[in-house]
Amino acid sequence: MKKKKSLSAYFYILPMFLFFAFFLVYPLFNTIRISFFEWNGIDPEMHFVGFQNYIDMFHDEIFYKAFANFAIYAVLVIVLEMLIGFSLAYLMRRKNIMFNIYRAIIFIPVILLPVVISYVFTDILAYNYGIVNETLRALHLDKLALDWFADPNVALYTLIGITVWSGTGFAMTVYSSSLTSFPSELIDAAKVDGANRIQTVTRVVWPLLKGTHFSLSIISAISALKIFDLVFLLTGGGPFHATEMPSTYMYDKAFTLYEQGFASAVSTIIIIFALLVTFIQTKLSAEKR
Amino acid sequence: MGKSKKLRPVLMAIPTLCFAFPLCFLFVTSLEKKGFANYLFVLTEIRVERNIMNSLIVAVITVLIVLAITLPASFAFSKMKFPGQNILFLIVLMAMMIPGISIAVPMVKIIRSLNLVNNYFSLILPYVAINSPIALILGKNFMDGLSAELMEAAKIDGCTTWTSFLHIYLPLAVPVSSIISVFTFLNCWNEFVYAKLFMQKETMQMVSTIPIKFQADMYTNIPALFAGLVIVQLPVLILYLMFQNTFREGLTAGAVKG
Repeated sequence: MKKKKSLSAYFYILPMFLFFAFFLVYPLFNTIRISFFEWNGIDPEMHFVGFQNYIDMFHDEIFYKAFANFAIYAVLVIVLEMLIGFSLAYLMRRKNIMFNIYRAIIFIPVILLPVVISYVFTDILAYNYGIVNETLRALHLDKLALDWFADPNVALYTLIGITVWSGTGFAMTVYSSSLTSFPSELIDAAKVDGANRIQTVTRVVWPLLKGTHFSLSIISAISALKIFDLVFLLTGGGPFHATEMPSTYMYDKAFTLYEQGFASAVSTIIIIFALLVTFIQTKLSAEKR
Repeated sequence: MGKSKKLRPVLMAIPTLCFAFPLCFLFVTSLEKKGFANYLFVLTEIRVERNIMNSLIVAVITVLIVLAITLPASFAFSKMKFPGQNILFLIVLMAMMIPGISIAVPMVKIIRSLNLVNNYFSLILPYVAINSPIALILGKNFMDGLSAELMEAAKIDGCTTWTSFLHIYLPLAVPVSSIISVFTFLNCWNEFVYAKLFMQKETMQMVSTIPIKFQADMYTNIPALFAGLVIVQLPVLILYLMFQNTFREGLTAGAVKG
Protein backbone atom coordinates (compact mmCIF):
# COMPACT_ATOMS: atom_id res chain seq x y z
CA MET A 1 0.00 0.00 0.00
CA LYS A 2 1.34 3.37 -0.83
CA LYS A 3 1.03 6.14 1.64
CA LYS A 4 1.40 9.24 -0.40
CA LYS A 5 2.76 12.22 1.39
CA SER A 6 -0.30 14.31 1.86
CA LEU A 7 -0.65 17.73 3.28
CA SER A 8 -4.21 17.11 4.37
CA ALA A 9 -2.73 15.44 7.44
CA TYR A 10 -1.93 18.88 8.74
CA PHE A 11 -5.63 19.52 9.22
CA TYR A 12 -5.80 16.54 11.52
CA ILE A 13 -2.99 17.75 13.70
CA LEU A 14 -3.64 21.46 13.50
CA PRO A 15 -6.06 21.87 16.43
CA MET A 16 -3.77 20.01 18.77
CA PHE A 17 -0.67 21.90 17.71
CA LEU A 18 -2.53 25.18 18.05
CA PHE A 19 -3.18 24.43 21.71
CA PHE A 20 0.40 23.37 21.98
CA ALA A 21 1.71 26.53 20.42
CA PHE A 22 -0.31 28.88 22.58
CA PHE A 23 -0.30 27.12 25.90
CA LEU A 24 2.94 25.21 25.95
CA VAL A 25 5.47 26.46 23.44
CA TYR A 26 4.75 30.16 23.83
CA PRO A 27 4.85 30.07 27.66
CA LEU A 28 8.00 27.96 27.45
CA PHE A 29 9.87 30.49 25.35
CA ASN A 30 8.48 33.28 27.44
CA THR A 31 9.81 31.67 30.58
CA ILE A 32 13.26 31.66 29.07
CA ARG A 33 12.86 35.23 27.86
CA ILE A 34 11.60 36.57 31.19
CA SER A 35 14.54 34.94 32.94
CA PHE A 36 16.74 37.65 31.45
CA PHE A 37 14.67 40.42 33.00
CA GLU A 38 13.81 41.72 36.40
CA TRP A 39 10.04 41.83 36.80
CA ASN A 40 7.52 41.83 39.60
CA GLY A 41 4.76 40.35 37.53
CA ILE A 42 2.56 43.40 37.76
CA ASP A 43 4.34 46.30 36.07
CA PRO A 44 3.84 46.52 32.33
CA GLU A 45 7.56 47.12 31.99
CA MET A 46 10.39 44.71 32.62
CA HIS A 47 13.95 45.62 33.32
CA PHE A 48 16.61 43.81 31.29
CA VAL A 49 19.38 42.34 33.40
CA GLY A 50 21.05 39.78 31.15
CA PHE A 51 22.41 36.81 33.06
CA GLN A 52 22.21 38.50 36.44
CA ASN A 53 19.32 36.29 37.59
CA TYR A 54 21.34 33.21 36.80
CA ILE A 55 24.40 34.57 38.57
CA ASP A 56 22.34 35.37 41.67
CA MET A 57 20.77 31.96 41.50
CA PHE A 58 24.06 30.11 41.35
CA HIS A 59 25.19 32.09 44.38
CA ASP A 60 22.09 31.23 46.37
CA GLU A 61 22.76 28.31 48.69
CA ILE A 62 19.06 27.55 48.89
CA PHE A 63 19.09 26.80 45.17
CA TYR A 64 21.64 24.07 45.75
CA LYS A 65 19.79 22.84 48.81
CA ALA A 66 16.63 22.51 46.75
CA PHE A 67 18.35 20.38 44.15
CA ALA A 68 20.16 18.31 46.76
CA ASN A 69 16.84 17.66 48.50
CA PHE A 70 15.35 16.79 45.16
CA ALA A 71 18.12 14.29 44.40
CA ILE A 72 17.65 12.48 47.72
CA TYR A 73 13.89 12.61 47.33
CA ALA A 74 13.81 11.34 43.76
CA VAL A 75 16.26 8.50 44.24
CA LEU A 76 14.67 7.20 47.43
CA VAL A 77 11.11 7.54 46.14
CA ILE A 78 11.85 5.79 42.86
CA VAL A 79 13.89 2.99 44.40
CA LEU A 80 11.44 2.35 47.23
CA GLU A 81 8.39 2.45 44.99
CA MET A 82 9.95 0.02 42.55
CA LEU A 83 11.19 -2.42 45.18
CA ILE A 84 8.03 -2.40 47.28
CA GLY A 85 5.81 -2.31 44.21
CA PHE A 86 7.60 -5.25 42.66
CA SER A 87 7.56 -7.27 45.89
CA LEU A 88 3.84 -6.75 46.31
CA ALA A 89 3.15 -7.59 42.69
CA TYR A 90 5.30 -10.70 42.81
CA LEU A 91 3.89 -11.97 46.10
CA MET A 92 0.40 -11.54 44.74
CA ARG A 93 1.02 -12.94 41.30
CA ARG A 94 -1.27 -15.95 41.62
CA LYS A 95 -4.96 -15.75 40.90
CA ASN A 96 -6.86 -15.02 44.05
CA ILE A 97 -9.88 -12.89 44.78
CA MET A 98 -8.34 -11.50 47.95
CA PHE A 99 -5.34 -10.38 45.93
CA ASN A 100 -7.60 -8.49 43.56
CA ILE A 101 -9.19 -6.73 46.49
CA TYR A 102 -5.83 -5.94 48.05
CA ARG A 103 -4.47 -4.56 44.82
CA ALA A 104 -7.53 -2.40 44.36
CA ILE A 105 -7.05 -0.96 47.84
CA ILE A 106 -3.32 -0.41 47.49
CA PHE A 107 -3.93 1.57 44.31
CA ILE A 108 -6.32 4.03 45.91
CA PRO A 109 -3.66 6.43 47.29
CA VAL A 110 -2.58 7.04 43.68
CA ILE A 111 -5.84 8.78 42.83
CA LEU A 112 -6.33 10.85 45.98
CA LEU A 113 -6.36 14.63 45.97
CA PRO A 114 -3.10 16.14 47.23
CA VAL A 115 -5.07 18.30 49.65
CA VAL A 116 -6.76 15.27 51.16
CA ILE A 117 -3.45 13.45 51.55
CA SER A 118 -1.80 16.44 53.16
CA TYR A 119 -4.54 17.17 55.68
CA VAL A 120 -4.82 13.53 56.71
CA PHE A 121 -1.11 13.07 57.22
CA THR A 122 -0.71 16.43 58.92
CA ASP A 123 -3.18 15.15 61.47
CA ILE A 124 -1.88 11.60 61.74
CA LEU A 125 1.71 12.75 62.17
CA ALA A 126 1.01 15.74 64.38
CA TYR A 127 3.64 15.89 67.06
CA ASN A 128 1.38 16.38 70.04
CA TYR A 129 -1.92 14.77 69.30
CA GLY A 130 -1.35 12.75 66.15
CA ILE A 131 -2.33 9.12 66.39
CA VAL A 132 1.12 7.84 65.40
CA ASN A 133 2.95 9.64 68.18
CA GLU A 134 0.21 8.97 70.71
CA THR A 135 0.44 5.26 69.96
CA LEU A 136 4.22 5.28 70.21
CA ARG A 137 4.05 7.04 73.55
CA ALA A 138 1.46 4.59 74.81
CA LEU A 139 3.88 1.80 73.91
CA HIS A 140 6.62 3.64 75.84
CA LEU A 141 8.51 4.22 72.60
CA ASP A 142 8.63 7.95 73.22
CA LYS A 143 11.99 8.26 71.55
CA LEU A 144 10.41 7.25 68.26
CA ALA A 145 7.74 9.90 68.49
CA LEU A 146 9.58 12.31 66.25
CA ASP A 147 8.52 15.73 65.14
CA TRP A 148 7.75 14.48 61.70
CA PHE A 149 7.26 17.80 59.97
CA ALA A 150 9.06 20.33 62.09
CA ASP A 151 12.35 18.55 62.62
CA PRO A 152 14.68 19.58 59.78
CA ASN A 153 16.45 16.22 59.90
CA VAL A 154 13.25 14.24 59.62
CA ALA A 155 10.95 16.31 57.43
CA LEU A 156 12.39 15.27 54.08
CA TYR A 157 12.08 11.60 54.97
CA THR A 158 8.53 12.10 56.16
CA LEU A 159 7.80 13.61 52.77
CA ILE A 160 9.49 10.70 51.05
CA GLY A 161 7.47 8.24 53.11
CA ILE A 162 4.17 9.91 52.23
CA THR A 163 5.10 10.05 48.56
CA VAL A 164 6.01 6.36 48.54
CA TRP A 165 2.69 5.57 50.23
CA SER A 166 0.81 7.41 47.52
CA GLY A 167 2.85 6.11 44.59
CA THR A 168 3.65 2.45 45.27
CA GLY A 169 0.23 1.32 44.06
CA PHE A 170 1.19 2.60 40.63
CA ALA A 171 4.47 0.68 40.48
CA MET A 172 2.75 -2.42 41.80
CA THR A 173 0.08 -2.26 39.12
CA VAL A 174 2.65 -1.88 36.36
CA TYR A 175 4.64 -4.85 37.65
CA SER A 176 1.48 -6.91 38.04
CA SER A 177 0.68 -6.37 34.39
CA SER A 178 4.20 -7.29 33.35
CA LEU A 179 4.18 -10.37 35.51
CA THR A 180 0.96 -11.72 34.05
CA SER A 181 2.65 -11.91 30.69
CA PHE A 182 5.77 -13.39 32.21
CA PRO A 183 6.47 -16.89 30.91
CA SER A 184 6.12 -19.22 33.86
CA GLU A 185 8.21 -21.86 32.13
CA LEU A 186 11.25 -19.77 32.98
CA ILE A 187 10.42 -19.92 36.65
CA ASP A 188 9.85 -23.66 36.41
CA ALA A 189 13.10 -24.12 34.54
CA ALA A 190 14.96 -22.23 37.22
CA LYS A 191 13.46 -24.42 39.92
CA VAL A 192 14.43 -27.53 38.00
CA ASP A 193 17.97 -26.16 37.88
CA GLY A 194 17.90 -26.03 41.65
CA ALA A 195 17.31 -22.35 42.29
CA ASN A 196 15.60 -21.56 45.54
CA ARG A 197 12.87 -18.96 45.69
CA ILE A 198 15.05 -15.96 46.34
CA GLN A 199 17.40 -16.88 43.54
CA THR A 200 14.51 -17.35 41.17
CA VAL A 201 13.30 -13.88 41.86
CA THR A 202 16.58 -12.04 41.81
CA ARG A 203 18.34 -13.89 39.03
CA VAL A 204 15.50 -14.78 36.72
CA VAL A 205 12.41 -12.66 37.15
CA TRP A 206 13.84 -9.27 38.06
CA PRO A 207 16.42 -9.06 35.25
CA LEU A 208 13.87 -10.04 32.62
CA LEU A 209 11.65 -7.13 33.57
CA LYS A 210 14.26 -4.62 32.49
CA GLY A 211 11.95 -2.93 30.02
CA THR A 212 9.42 -2.34 32.75
CA HIS A 213 12.07 -1.07 35.15
CA PHE A 214 13.19 1.53 32.67
CA SER A 215 9.79 2.84 31.64
CA LEU A 216 8.71 2.94 35.26
CA SER A 217 11.83 4.80 36.35
CA ILE A 218 11.46 7.34 33.57
CA ILE A 219 7.83 7.95 34.40
CA SER A 220 8.66 8.18 38.11
CA ALA A 221 11.50 10.59 37.42
CA ILE A 222 9.21 12.85 35.41
CA SER A 223 6.62 12.71 38.20
CA ALA A 224 9.27 13.53 40.77
CA LEU A 225 10.36 16.55 38.78
CA LYS A 226 6.80 17.81 38.78
CA ILE A 227 6.40 17.40 42.52
CA PHE A 228 4.93 20.49 44.01
CA ASP A 229 1.46 19.97 45.43
CA LEU A 230 2.34 17.66 48.30
CA VAL A 231 5.46 19.54 49.35
CA PHE A 232 3.72 22.91 49.21
CA LEU A 233 0.76 21.69 51.23
CA LEU A 234 2.65 19.62 53.78
CA THR A 235 5.64 21.77 54.60
CA GLY A 236 5.84 24.68 52.17
CA GLY A 237 9.49 23.81 51.70
CA GLY A 238 10.35 24.14 55.36
CA PRO A 239 11.34 23.81 58.06
CA PHE A 240 14.25 26.04 57.17
CA HIS A 241 14.31 24.75 53.61
CA ALA A 242 14.72 21.15 54.77
CA THR A 243 12.13 20.10 52.22
CA GLU A 244 12.73 22.83 49.68
CA MET A 245 12.34 21.53 46.16
CA PRO A 246 13.21 23.34 42.94
CA SER A 247 9.48 23.78 42.32
CA THR A 248 8.67 25.30 45.72
CA TYR A 249 11.75 27.47 45.47
CA MET A 250 10.50 28.77 42.13
CA TYR A 251 6.95 29.24 43.40
CA ASP A 252 8.12 31.27 46.38
CA LYS A 253 10.18 33.57 44.22
CA ALA A 254 7.38 33.99 41.70
CA PHE A 255 4.25 34.34 43.79
CA THR A 256 5.37 35.21 47.28
CA LEU A 257 8.27 37.51 46.55
CA TYR A 258 7.15 38.55 43.08
CA GLU A 259 10.64 38.22 41.67
CA GLN A 260 9.33 36.69 38.49
CA GLY A 261 12.46 37.24 36.45
CA PHE A 262 14.48 35.27 38.97
CA ALA A 263 11.75 32.66 39.23
CA SER A 264 11.81 32.24 35.46
CA ALA A 265 15.53 31.58 35.61
CA VAL A 266 14.83 28.85 38.15
CA SER A 267 12.11 27.46 35.89
CA THR A 268 14.45 27.42 32.93
CA ILE A 269 16.98 25.43 34.91
CA ILE A 270 14.25 23.02 36.03
CA ILE A 271 13.20 22.48 32.43
CA ILE A 272 16.76 21.94 31.21
CA PHE A 273 17.31 19.54 34.08
CA ALA A 274 14.11 17.65 33.21
CA LEU A 275 15.14 17.29 29.58
CA LEU A 276 18.64 16.13 30.58
CA VAL A 277 17.40 13.52 33.01
CA THR A 278 14.91 12.10 30.55
CA PHE A 279 17.45 12.14 27.74
CA ILE A 280 20.02 10.27 29.84
CA GLN A 281 17.53 7.71 31.03
CA THR A 282 16.23 7.07 27.53
CA LYS A 283 19.78 6.68 26.28
CA LEU A 284 20.56 4.18 29.05
CA SER A 285 17.45 2.16 28.38
CA ALA A 286 18.11 2.08 24.66
CA GLU A 287 21.68 0.94 25.15
CA LYS A 288 20.87 -1.91 27.45
CA ARG A 289 18.59 -3.55 24.95
CA MET B 1 4.77 -24.98 49.52
CA GLY B 2 1.08 -25.66 50.00
CA LYS B 3 1.06 -24.01 53.40
CA SER B 4 2.60 -20.75 52.23
CA LYS B 5 0.14 -20.47 49.38
CA LYS B 6 -2.77 -20.61 51.76
CA LEU B 7 -1.14 -18.30 54.24
CA ARG B 8 -0.28 -15.62 51.75
CA PRO B 9 -3.72 -14.05 51.34
CA VAL B 10 -3.72 -13.56 55.08
CA LEU B 11 -0.18 -12.21 55.20
CA MET B 12 -0.77 -9.78 52.37
CA ALA B 13 -3.53 -8.21 54.39
CA ILE B 14 -0.80 -6.58 56.46
CA PRO B 15 0.72 -4.32 53.81
CA THR B 16 -2.78 -3.67 52.47
CA LEU B 17 -3.85 -2.39 55.86
CA CYS B 18 -0.84 -0.11 55.97
CA PHE B 19 -1.90 1.46 52.71
CA ALA B 20 -5.54 1.60 53.71
CA PHE B 21 -5.00 3.03 57.18
CA PRO B 22 -4.85 6.76 56.40
CA LEU B 23 -8.04 6.62 54.37
CA CYS B 24 -9.85 4.60 57.03
CA PHE B 25 -8.61 7.10 59.58
CA LEU B 26 -10.10 9.85 57.45
CA PHE B 27 -13.52 8.22 57.38
CA VAL B 28 -13.55 7.29 61.04
CA THR B 29 -12.43 10.72 62.23
CA SER B 30 -14.99 12.44 60.08
CA LEU B 31 -17.67 10.71 62.11
CA GLU B 32 -16.28 11.67 65.49
CA LYS B 33 -18.18 13.81 67.95
CA LYS B 34 -21.30 14.45 65.95
CA GLY B 35 -21.36 11.62 63.42
CA PHE B 36 -23.14 12.43 60.20
CA ALA B 37 -24.07 15.85 61.51
CA ASN B 38 -20.53 16.81 60.55
CA TYR B 39 -21.36 16.16 56.94
CA LEU B 40 -24.56 18.17 57.13
CA PHE B 41 -22.63 20.97 58.75
CA VAL B 42 -20.09 21.08 55.92
CA LEU B 43 -22.74 20.87 53.24
CA THR B 44 -24.65 23.82 54.67
CA GLU B 45 -21.75 25.95 55.82
CA ILE B 46 -19.58 25.66 52.75
CA ARG B 47 -21.24 25.29 49.40
CA VAL B 48 -19.13 22.28 48.42
CA GLU B 49 -21.55 21.28 45.74
CA ARG B 50 -20.59 24.45 43.91
CA ASN B 51 -16.94 23.43 43.94
CA ILE B 52 -17.70 19.92 42.83
CA MET B 53 -19.72 21.37 39.96
CA ASN B 54 -16.84 23.62 38.94
CA SER B 55 -14.31 20.84 38.95
CA LEU B 56 -16.72 18.62 37.08
CA ILE B 57 -17.37 21.20 34.38
CA VAL B 58 -13.69 21.90 33.86
CA ALA B 59 -12.74 18.23 33.83
CA VAL B 60 -15.48 17.11 31.47
CA ILE B 61 -14.96 19.91 28.96
CA THR B 62 -11.20 19.32 29.03
CA VAL B 63 -11.69 15.62 28.37
CA LEU B 64 -13.99 16.32 25.43
CA ILE B 65 -11.61 18.79 23.85
CA VAL B 66 -8.61 16.53 24.40
CA LEU B 67 -10.40 13.64 22.70
CA ALA B 68 -11.55 15.88 19.87
CA ILE B 69 -8.06 17.12 19.06
CA THR B 70 -5.87 14.13 19.84
CA LEU B 71 -7.83 11.34 18.16
CA PRO B 72 -7.59 12.87 14.68
CA ALA B 73 -3.94 13.70 15.36
CA SER B 74 -3.26 10.12 16.53
CA PHE B 75 -4.82 8.88 13.34
CA ALA B 76 -2.72 11.22 11.24
CA PHE B 77 0.53 10.26 12.96
CA SER B 78 -0.27 6.61 12.66
CA LYS B 79 -1.92 6.18 9.31
CA MET B 80 -0.84 9.14 7.26
CA LYS B 81 2.46 10.38 6.00
CA PHE B 82 3.42 14.02 6.07
CA PRO B 83 6.56 16.10 6.13
CA GLY B 84 8.04 16.77 9.55
CA GLN B 85 6.13 13.89 11.09
CA ASN B 86 8.94 12.59 13.22
CA ILE B 87 10.15 15.95 14.42
CA LEU B 88 6.67 17.02 15.43
CA PHE B 89 6.19 13.80 17.36
CA LEU B 90 9.49 14.33 19.12
CA ILE B 91 8.38 17.81 20.12
CA VAL B 92 5.27 16.27 21.63
CA LEU B 93 7.38 13.80 23.61
CA MET B 94 9.54 16.58 24.95
CA ALA B 95 6.52 18.62 25.93
CA MET B 96 5.50 15.84 28.27
CA MET B 97 8.50 16.54 30.45
CA ILE B 98 7.74 20.15 31.17
CA PRO B 99 6.39 20.59 34.67
CA GLY B 100 3.27 22.72 34.63
CA ILE B 101 4.61 24.87 37.38
CA SER B 102 7.70 25.92 35.48
CA ILE B 103 5.61 27.77 32.91
CA ALA B 104 3.30 29.22 35.53
CA VAL B 105 4.74 32.73 35.33
CA PRO B 106 4.04 33.37 31.64
CA MET B 107 0.82 31.37 31.91
CA VAL B 108 -0.48 33.87 34.43
CA LYS B 109 0.41 36.66 32.03
CA ILE B 110 -1.38 34.96 29.16
CA ILE B 111 -4.51 34.17 31.13
CA ARG B 112 -4.66 37.70 32.45
CA SER B 113 -4.21 39.23 29.03
CA LEU B 114 -7.01 37.05 27.68
CA ASN B 115 -9.17 38.22 30.56
CA LEU B 116 -9.88 34.71 31.64
CA VAL B 117 -9.23 34.92 35.37
CA ASN B 118 -12.06 33.25 37.29
CA ASN B 119 -13.29 31.78 34.03
CA TYR B 120 -13.52 28.05 33.46
CA PHE B 121 -11.39 28.40 30.35
CA SER B 122 -8.47 29.75 32.35
CA LEU B 123 -8.06 26.16 33.42
CA ILE B 124 -9.53 24.25 30.50
CA LEU B 125 -7.14 25.67 27.90
CA PRO B 126 -3.90 24.96 29.79
CA TYR B 127 -5.21 21.57 30.92
CA VAL B 128 -5.93 20.57 27.34
CA ALA B 129 -2.42 21.58 26.32
CA ILE B 130 -0.83 19.74 29.22
CA ASN B 131 -2.79 16.51 28.82
CA SER B 132 -2.63 16.28 25.06
CA PRO B 133 0.92 14.93 24.69
CA ILE B 134 0.34 11.70 26.52
CA ALA B 135 -3.12 11.37 24.97
CA LEU B 136 -1.49 11.61 21.57
CA ILE B 137 1.15 9.02 22.40
CA LEU B 138 -1.41 6.55 23.71
CA GLY B 139 -3.71 7.27 20.79
CA LYS B 140 -1.00 6.79 18.21
CA ASN B 141 0.18 3.52 19.77
CA PHE B 142 -3.37 2.30 19.72
CA MET B 143 -3.93 3.31 16.13
CA ASP B 144 -0.69 1.61 15.16
CA GLY B 145 -2.33 -1.57 16.32
CA LEU B 146 -5.26 -1.05 13.97
CA SER B 147 -4.69 -2.35 10.48
CA ALA B 148 -4.17 0.13 7.68
CA GLU B 149 -5.98 -2.24 5.39
CA LEU B 150 -9.25 -1.15 6.89
CA MET B 151 -8.74 2.23 5.33
CA GLU B 152 -7.70 0.73 2.02
CA ALA B 153 -10.85 -1.32 1.91
CA ALA B 154 -12.90 1.71 2.80
CA LYS B 155 -11.31 3.75 0.04
CA ILE B 156 -12.17 1.11 -2.49
CA ASP B 157 -15.72 1.51 -1.36
CA GLY B 158 -15.49 5.19 -2.02
CA CYS B 159 -14.57 6.64 1.35
CA THR B 160 -12.18 9.49 1.73
CA THR B 161 -9.45 9.43 4.35
CA TRP B 162 -11.56 11.59 6.61
CA THR B 163 -14.70 9.48 6.36
CA SER B 164 -12.75 6.28 6.90
CA PHE B 165 -11.33 7.87 10.03
CA LEU B 166 -14.75 8.98 11.19
CA HIS B 167 -16.69 5.83 10.49
CA ILE B 168 -14.13 3.09 10.92
CA TYR B 169 -11.18 4.03 13.08
CA LEU B 170 -12.95 6.30 15.49
CA PRO B 171 -15.53 3.76 16.64
CA LEU B 172 -12.68 1.28 17.09
CA ALA B 173 -10.86 3.74 19.31
CA VAL B 174 -13.29 3.45 22.21
CA PRO B 175 -10.85 1.55 24.47
CA VAL B 176 -8.10 4.13 24.15
CA SER B 177 -10.65 6.92 24.46
CA SER B 178 -11.78 5.68 27.82
CA ILE B 179 -8.17 5.43 28.95
CA ILE B 180 -7.46 8.98 27.80
CA SER B 181 -10.65 10.18 29.46
CA VAL B 182 -9.75 8.61 32.79
CA PHE B 183 -6.34 10.11 33.29
CA THR B 184 -7.27 13.47 31.80
CA PHE B 185 -10.25 13.66 34.15
CA LEU B 186 -8.11 12.71 37.12
CA ASN B 187 -5.36 15.17 36.24
CA CYS B 188 -7.90 17.98 35.98
CA TRP B 189 -9.69 17.07 39.19
CA ASN B 190 -6.48 16.84 41.21
CA GLU B 191 -4.67 19.78 39.69
CA PHE B 192 -3.71 22.29 42.30
CA VAL B 193 -1.37 25.05 41.13
CA TYR B 194 -3.31 26.62 38.28
CA ALA B 195 -6.59 26.10 40.12
CA LYS B 196 -5.16 28.12 42.96
CA LEU B 197 -3.68 30.81 40.75
CA PHE B 198 -6.59 31.41 38.39
CA MET B 199 -9.76 30.68 40.31
CA GLN B 200 -9.87 33.10 43.15
CA LYS B 201 -13.51 34.04 43.30
CA GLU B 202 -15.21 31.97 45.95
CA THR B 203 -17.98 30.68 43.74
CA MET B 204 -15.54 29.58 41.09
CA GLN B 205 -13.13 27.57 43.18
CA MET B 206 -12.15 24.06 42.40
CA VAL B 207 -12.36 20.98 44.52
CA SER B 208 -8.60 20.70 44.78
CA THR B 209 -8.19 24.06 46.48
CA ILE B 210 -11.32 24.24 48.57
CA PRO B 211 -9.95 22.65 51.73
CA ILE B 212 -7.93 25.80 52.19
CA LYS B 213 -11.20 27.47 52.97
CA PHE B 214 -12.10 24.55 55.20
CA GLN B 215 -9.00 25.14 57.20
CA ALA B 216 -9.82 28.75 57.85
CA ASP B 217 -13.35 28.01 59.02
CA MET B 218 -12.84 24.72 60.71
CA TYR B 219 -9.36 24.72 62.10
CA THR B 220 -10.48 23.49 65.47
CA ASN B 221 -13.18 21.23 64.16
CA ILE B 222 -11.17 18.39 62.71
CA PRO B 223 -14.08 15.97 62.26
CA ALA B 224 -15.92 18.54 60.18
CA LEU B 225 -12.77 19.26 58.21
CA PHE B 226 -12.38 15.56 57.48
CA ALA B 227 -16.03 15.28 56.55
CA GLY B 228 -15.40 18.01 54.00
CA LEU B 229 -12.40 16.12 52.65
CA VAL B 230 -14.42 12.96 52.29
CA ILE B 231 -17.10 14.84 50.38
CA VAL B 232 -14.67 16.30 47.86
CA GLN B 233 -12.83 13.02 47.41
CA LEU B 234 -15.94 10.93 47.06
CA PRO B 235 -16.79 11.52 43.37
CA VAL B 236 -13.44 10.26 42.10
CA LEU B 237 -13.37 7.46 44.64
CA ILE B 238 -16.77 6.22 43.55
CA LEU B 239 -15.78 6.42 39.89
CA TYR B 240 -12.66 4.41 40.71
CA LEU B 241 -14.55 1.68 42.54
CA MET B 242 -17.00 1.42 39.65
CA PHE B 243 -14.44 1.45 36.86
CA GLN B 244 -11.42 -0.04 38.56
CA ASN B 245 -9.96 -1.74 35.58
CA THR B 246 -10.26 1.24 33.29
CA PHE B 247 -8.67 3.43 35.93
CA ARG B 248 -5.72 1.21 36.57
CA GLU B 249 -5.16 0.35 32.95
CA GLY B 250 -5.55 3.94 31.93
CA LEU B 251 -3.15 5.37 34.43
CA THR B 252 -0.45 2.80 33.95
CA ALA B 253 -0.71 2.45 30.19
CA GLY B 254 2.52 3.41 28.60
CA ALA B 255 4.55 2.15 31.54
CA VAL B 256 3.88 -1.48 30.88
CA LYS B 257 6.44 -2.81 28.48
CA GLY B 258 8.27 -6.09 27.98
